Amino acid sequence: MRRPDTRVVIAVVLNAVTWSEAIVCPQILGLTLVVQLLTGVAIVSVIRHERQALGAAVAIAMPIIGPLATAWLDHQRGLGGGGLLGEPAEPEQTVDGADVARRLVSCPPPCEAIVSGDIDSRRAAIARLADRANADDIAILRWARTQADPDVAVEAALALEDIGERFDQRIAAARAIAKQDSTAEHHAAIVQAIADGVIAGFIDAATAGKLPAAARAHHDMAVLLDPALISSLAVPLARLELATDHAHDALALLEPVLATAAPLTEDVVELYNEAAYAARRFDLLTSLERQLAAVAKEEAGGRA
Amino acid sequence: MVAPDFVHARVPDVCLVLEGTYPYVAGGVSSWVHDIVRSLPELQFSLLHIGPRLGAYGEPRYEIPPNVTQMVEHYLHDSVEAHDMLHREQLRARLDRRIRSARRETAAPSRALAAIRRLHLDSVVDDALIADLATGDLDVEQLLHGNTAFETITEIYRECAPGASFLDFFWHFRSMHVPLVRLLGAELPSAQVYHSLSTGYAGVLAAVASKRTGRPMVLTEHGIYARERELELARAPWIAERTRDPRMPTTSVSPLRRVWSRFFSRLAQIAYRQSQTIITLSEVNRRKQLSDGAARDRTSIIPNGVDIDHLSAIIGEPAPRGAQEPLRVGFVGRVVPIKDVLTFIKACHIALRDVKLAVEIIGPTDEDPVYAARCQNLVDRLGRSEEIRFVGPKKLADIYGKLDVVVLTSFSEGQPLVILEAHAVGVPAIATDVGACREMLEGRDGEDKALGPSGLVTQVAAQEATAAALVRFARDPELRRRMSVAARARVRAHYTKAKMIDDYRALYDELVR
Repeated sequence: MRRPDTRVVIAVVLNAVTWSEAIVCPQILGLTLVVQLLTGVAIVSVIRHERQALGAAVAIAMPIIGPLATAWLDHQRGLGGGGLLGEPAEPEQTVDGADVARRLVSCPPPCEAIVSGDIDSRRAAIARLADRANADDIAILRWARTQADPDVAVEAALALEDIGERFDQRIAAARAIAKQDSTAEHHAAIVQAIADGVIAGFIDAATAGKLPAAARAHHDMAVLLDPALISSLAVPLARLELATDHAHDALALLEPVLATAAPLTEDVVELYNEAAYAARRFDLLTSLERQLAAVAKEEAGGRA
Repeated sequence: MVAPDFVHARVPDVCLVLEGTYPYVAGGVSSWVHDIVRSLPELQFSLLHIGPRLGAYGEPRYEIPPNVTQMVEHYLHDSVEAHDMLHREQLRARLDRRIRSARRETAAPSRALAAIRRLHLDSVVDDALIADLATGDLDVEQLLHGNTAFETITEIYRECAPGASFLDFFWHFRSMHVPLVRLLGAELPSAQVYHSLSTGYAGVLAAVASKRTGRPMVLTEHGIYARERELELARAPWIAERTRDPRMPTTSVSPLRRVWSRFFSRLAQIAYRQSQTIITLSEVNRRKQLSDGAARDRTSIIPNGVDIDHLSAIIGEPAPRGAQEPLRVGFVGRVVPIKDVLTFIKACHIALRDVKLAVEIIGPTDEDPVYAARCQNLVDRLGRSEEIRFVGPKKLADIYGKLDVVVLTSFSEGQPLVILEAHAVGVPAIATDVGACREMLEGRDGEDKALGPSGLVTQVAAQEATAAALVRFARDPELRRRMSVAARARVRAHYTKAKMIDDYRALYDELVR
């Protein structure tokens, strides 16, 4: 328990003395009220922030008992005060490094966990992959789906189905919003949602169907409504085009981005090079890639 | 609740204990029950149906046969509030009295509560545990408000789910046990034999009835209930995980999932322990039952069967397909996630790049409209609305005569009636390697295998493999012919309704005596 602040003790004692004097000598009532006010200020300055408003009210309004009650309340548990009226703050996410290290050491890699024969470990691994659902996770789940153990195969297939359901829901929600309110951001959200599904490998080229076309249409609409989006939307759509074997379209999307005066990011350059390779347009490779290609060519010539 | 309009002439021969199926829900198990009851008119049946809550189902989907002399219904979540909104005050007063009475608890401790404790903490399910449950000396108020019950709950929490929040555990415990306690205290109909169609709550209820009356119990499992629940529980979003951060590695699932899983596994063991005969449809499922605790000498296999003559008469010979006509492919079943219709559609789409197909999805779409919409959206997205059509439910006579192959892409199956019906009229199948499908398409033993394959087996969710199988069927008429012959021969040899009915008649005769 905290020790009472000396200023508070002095203020409370002074308050009690002046009030007791004021009872027998009403002439000093004015002075007593000033002391009461100062006592309140002194107490408020030392008590917890969230209790200051309540503390000031009690300490100033109630002679003798008020300052005592405020000092006592400050030492009690609980939130109290005006803090309760506001929105509760999101608890801070803390990561315990030791805990993470311990888990990493004790946790087998997901593939191993899936075929380990330990049901708990397998389900935990599959659940984590399904929750995260990035490209690597989906690849592992697809591999798990082909395992000979029917329990493993079915659990992995169901996890993939869950991811698929989430993907469908995300697309449907984005479409519904864009239908209600046709803004550039809402059309861009659809492009991003479709691109995420295709890039993560959940939607493969064979069953993408009309999705890439839909993404293109929403991309065009978003850019029409807000031309400033052309750079930010080009990257996801170009990735989608690459994933669905439309490398030339990916190049066409990235060229305006490369032509802008804005500084290029490494991601965009890498993506452009990837598209150039896929389209067999080696003439478009950037200088670094050209150098690499020249070195490779020289090496190949030397061997010959 | 006992339906009043049944005549109680004598104690029924067989009480069928059903959970969420006949007569309210259409499907494989319900069709089986209907067939059994109609095919054994010399026996009197009572039906004990366990539903989720009053009014959860609409009207019965089947006309109850005249040899059903009694029907009793119990509900897992029969909330008092639902019935008695107008009498809330009286209810509250009654509840208060009961809570006070439960808190006094001066009498001997509840044996049913002790059994619930053992269910979670002991590794053995024995006759004593079932006898304790059968006392039914525990009511819901005692479970939720009694001191002894609270001590039991905290003990189970400490032992089984110490990492979980106690509040979460309490609510899960409540969800598991309130239905159980309610059923244990329910009035059960008399019968010569109690026959449960699943483990779970139905299995426990049949075991308790059997223990109380000393009459034998039979268990027939079409799918393995505890395993099916496990699959659901592994993905259930309503069970909180210890960490919601997917980046954090973990080697175990939420302890609450384990508690649920163990609970259903224990319920299955209770049913296995009390059953004199444990029947399933296939060797695959029998092996699962054995590994889940069933005694080997009590297990047996009675496969489903179909009335070949009747089917042949109403369906006739499949109409021949012209050489240039597309392969007629059918998915027959409910459009629900467990059937994985999405994979079926993707497989057809992939196959359609190489061969011509005319695909029909035959079955109701109203059970899970959201999933059905996803399937329809996928067809639209793939631009296959011409080739892949949702045609809704059809009469049996109109289904198989116009198909060259049926496809089942289910994640889980018992012994699908669809394959038997298709085979009966010579339609081969492509099916996933779940339940009894491989046995049905490739044969169970040497003699059966000698008939040759009557279809192709694929892995679950394997769209490419299913597409490849469709392409093979489309391009190889000789393969289809051979499989068609094998399909008819296999059904005639192993899956006739007459044989199935004879097996059950013999079983009932032996037990009713």
